[in-house]
Amino acid sequence: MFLKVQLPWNVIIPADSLGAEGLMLQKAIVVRLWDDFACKKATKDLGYFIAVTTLESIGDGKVRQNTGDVPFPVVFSGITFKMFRGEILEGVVHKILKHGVFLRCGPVQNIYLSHLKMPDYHYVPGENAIFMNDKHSKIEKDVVVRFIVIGTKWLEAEREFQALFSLEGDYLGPVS
Amino acid sequence: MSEKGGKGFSLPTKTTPKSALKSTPASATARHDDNSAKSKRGRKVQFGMEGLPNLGFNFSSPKSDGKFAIPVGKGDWAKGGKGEKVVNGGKAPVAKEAKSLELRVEQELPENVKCLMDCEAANILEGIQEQMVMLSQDSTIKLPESFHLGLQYAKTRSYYTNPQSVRRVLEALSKYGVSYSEICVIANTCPETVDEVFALVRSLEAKKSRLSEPLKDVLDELGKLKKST
Repeated sequence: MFLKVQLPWNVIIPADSLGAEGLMLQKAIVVRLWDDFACKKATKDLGYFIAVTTLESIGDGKVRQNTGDVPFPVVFSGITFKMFRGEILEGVVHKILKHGVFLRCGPVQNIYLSHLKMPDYHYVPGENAIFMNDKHSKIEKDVVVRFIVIGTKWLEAEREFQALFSLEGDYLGPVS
Repeated sequence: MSEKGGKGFSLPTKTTPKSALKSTPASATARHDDNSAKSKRGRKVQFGMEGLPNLGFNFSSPKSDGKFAIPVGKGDWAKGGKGEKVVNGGKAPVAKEAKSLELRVEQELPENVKCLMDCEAANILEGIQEQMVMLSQDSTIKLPESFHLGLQYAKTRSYYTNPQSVRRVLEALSKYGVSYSEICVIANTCPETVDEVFALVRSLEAKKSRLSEPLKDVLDELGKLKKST
């Protein structure tokens, strides 16, 4: 789900961005924050960084001796996206394989749903392979599927989450 | 089988036949397999069902086979609801399985972090996008890829016209002990019936008797706030 976070951060402003007016400083800080967000991508505690909403406070900057740039301690509010165990989410199928399907859900692009966790659905091979159950409910490319999150794992090296999903339960499966 | 014992290392006692088979090759690789099987198991415990070792199952070995066996039974029970023997036999693991998949968002969140409903997030992100369009001629702000994906996702999951009204309606449930994260999940899934709420938000099952009536009223109110598609 989406989270609203309030975080302390150290924003480093290079010397040439430091203007005499306060507003230019705020803009430089916000620009750097967005840049940092884009680079850092995600953290284990907060999930994927989505947006900066407000800059709550800017502390005093201290000029670094060697480089001349200035780190400012700031507190800002932002939005992140994190998957939690037991949560109900919806994803779009983008790849069908014999043993499961790959889904996209928000900023998470590669989620695997194993056929073991799709009770009653069986693989139907073909040019456009699909998974189908006895009631002719189809899981195919571009179908939206509602699932429950069984577990998540943070991968430090790739800076992303892996997750295990399941369709076992009522009201889970393809949605129209 | 005896050959393995003779190789000078002890296999873990909880080894199931499957992992025993893995240890059959030469001693160096067998030790490797044992370690990798162990670390695989360790990894699986970490990755998968954290709650499983605590639940005191007979199949407490955190192998994936044991893990998957339970949910299949549960799924059948939840859907069919027929066959008393199945219900009774499956009840203990089913109840515990349901418990292990309860939302525990509040316990996992650090301070200064609040849950947002998807419709609220969609509003905020759309506002930011509009601001970015205005600033785009001048600004060097680079929106991360996750912003666009997050916005798209929030918009598709945003079923209500007015997030503030939705929050007001759902907050009536908080006096019955419903946590804010559970409220967010209810708003995000846009349920139509009370049964759907209890099926999806499993942590509310315990309060079913108290919640059924107020939940029905809340869902009626929410129905009026839905976006017309």
